Amino acid sequence: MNVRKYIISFLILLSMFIISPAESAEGRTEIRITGSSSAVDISDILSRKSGTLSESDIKKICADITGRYHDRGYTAFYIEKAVMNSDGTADIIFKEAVVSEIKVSGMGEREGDAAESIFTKGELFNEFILKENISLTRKRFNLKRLNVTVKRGGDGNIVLSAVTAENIHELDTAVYGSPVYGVRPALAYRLRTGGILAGVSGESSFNQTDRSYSRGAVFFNSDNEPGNSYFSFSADVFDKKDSYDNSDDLIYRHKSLSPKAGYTWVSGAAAMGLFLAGTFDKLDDYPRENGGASFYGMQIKLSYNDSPYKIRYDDITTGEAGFSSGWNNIEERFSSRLTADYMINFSLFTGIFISLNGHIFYTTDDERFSHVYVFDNLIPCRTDDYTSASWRNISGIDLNYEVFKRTLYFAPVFKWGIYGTGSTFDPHENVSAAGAKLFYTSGKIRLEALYLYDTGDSFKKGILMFSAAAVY
Amino acid sequence: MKKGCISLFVVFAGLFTSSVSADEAVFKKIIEDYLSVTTIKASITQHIYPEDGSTEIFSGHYFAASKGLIRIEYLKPERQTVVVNDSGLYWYYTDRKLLFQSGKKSGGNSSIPLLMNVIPAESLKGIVVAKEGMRFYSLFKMADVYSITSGKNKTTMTLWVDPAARIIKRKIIIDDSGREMIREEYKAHAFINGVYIPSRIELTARTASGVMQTITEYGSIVLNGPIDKDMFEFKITPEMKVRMINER
Repeated sequence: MNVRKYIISFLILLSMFIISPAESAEGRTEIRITGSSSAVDISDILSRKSGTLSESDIKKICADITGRYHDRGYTAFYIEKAVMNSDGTADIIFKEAVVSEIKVSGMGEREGDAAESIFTKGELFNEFILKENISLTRKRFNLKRLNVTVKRGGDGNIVLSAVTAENIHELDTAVYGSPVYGVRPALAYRLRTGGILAGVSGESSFNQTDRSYSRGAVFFNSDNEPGNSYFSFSADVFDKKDSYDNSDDLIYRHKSLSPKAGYTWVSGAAAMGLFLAGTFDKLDDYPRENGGASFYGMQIKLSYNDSPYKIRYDDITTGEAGFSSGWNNIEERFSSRLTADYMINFSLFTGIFISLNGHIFYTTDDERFSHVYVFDNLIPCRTDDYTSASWRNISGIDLNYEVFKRTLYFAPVFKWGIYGTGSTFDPHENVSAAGAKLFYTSGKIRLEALYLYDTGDSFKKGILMFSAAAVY
Repeated sequence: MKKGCISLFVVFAGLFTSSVSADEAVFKKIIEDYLSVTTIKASITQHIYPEDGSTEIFSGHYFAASKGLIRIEYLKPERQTVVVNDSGLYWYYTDRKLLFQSGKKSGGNSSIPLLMNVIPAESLKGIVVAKEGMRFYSLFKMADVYSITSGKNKTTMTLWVDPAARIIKRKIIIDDSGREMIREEYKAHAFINGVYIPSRIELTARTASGVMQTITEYGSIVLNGPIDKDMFEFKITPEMKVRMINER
């Protein structure tokens, strides 16, 4: 491929360590310039000729100046007037042309943001900057088409008119491994149009084992522009077969519906959401209970994700904490639940970075169907261990090594877990796991293989997990 | 967070006032050190990693002088000469006798011209430096972080300066929406003629065709050595096939 364009962009790298004090262009009194913002250095052109100027000198100078401006992308530049004076001097009047107006159509409420992204109003028009901004705007706003027409207004300045077509449809496909449920194919569809985001998703283990997992979801967000606050509504439906204890004989079926509505305030990478939420359950073959509303109340969600802002994966931080509090009609008492996930990446050396990650789960609910499996895909280190817990804290460190630049990574992985059941942290159990992860990422595809084993047991008793995901 | 604002024009003109705090003294010293560099000669190896996962390696000789003069003589993967001078950019494929030519990009409009070759006084108006505090740049090492903003555009540049080592470690250009557009890591600093010069520069940049990464390694660096000014001239001869570079 032609990498010339890349090299041009970093030609100045080391030379930036050479700094020269500014020089002023003085003593060129034979040519007076009006209307110049000094955006383009033309001092060498103006100093070529000294003394008395002829008409052909002025024509040549005007042509050179125009050529210089146009070569540097200021293609709307022209010389309004050039006057030869009787004393042999000359006056040249520039029209550098600023962008006076930017019109955008086809993007609804986002048109103002898109206009700012296409060009800065009031700045000198530059074709090269416009081309680059168009490419970046297409990516930033996920546009299928962005055509910009450049016209000169009555005052000689530039009017940009942009016609856009949004990328309306987006499809995610994935396959996740789970030590509890087996392989789970997943599909998600997102619709982005008129500034809103809506979609459906689903995944299922298709009854591969005694325990099974199926989930469906619908969601609607009133704004689809990253960084904007939005109202949202979602509903999750689960149909699971789980074991009441670590036994294959006590399998129950748990169906649930969890609607949620609220508002999320976004400020840069940080967001806070406040929701009304509920969970309605139906239980079959479950001791004592057959269903009801296991939760209705409030949920507050705090999140931080700087990945859209950071240019390097080894520098990103993501985290989300959700706290729910309300009434459990089945247990007839107050219910609280906390879930949190985080990942903090930071670079150690070139090609090596550490990823600190973790997951926290806690619920005050006593019933098993509100608890989680300990050894699920977050810490898959034991085979056929279906221990459940009402609280669990998993912390992990991945030491990532970049095998092939920005595509293939290898990481030794260490995880520590502490878990238990009950309202206090005693009694509790500990587990530590070690293993290795290999993951490949390229554009819209991500593949991952993880082998993890319980360090208190044999290496051979570990679990190999695969996952694959792609966005279309 | 302490915000010590100083005029960048003052920084570059070397006219520091007595009000500049001790925290900024290191920054001032680094800039002063760079002010003393007028030429650089080095061998160069460049690794280019576009988003498609491919890799290209270039190597050759690098020459730079104040006023933005650059010459690179690539020997691999094929003989190429790149010259940047007052009249523009010339990229010549010697064996193919093919020349790509372009007018030189003006530095005043799209980027903050800090540490960029010749800095016209006009471009420095409205530029302010603010100390943003200290941050870790590796597991155990911290840097003073300075943000440089321009009244001309909404771009922000942050410079990460290791006050103990007296070196610039990192430069990040951030657009008006807060996204990092360019990030440069300066590594393997060599202490030459009293100045710390990075011999390895890792660049990550968002481009129209995706995020690309480059690693540039400099060897045998000579500062302020004599360089014939004619090296930065480029003469177009009749046998050259001339094309325009449709890039900035």
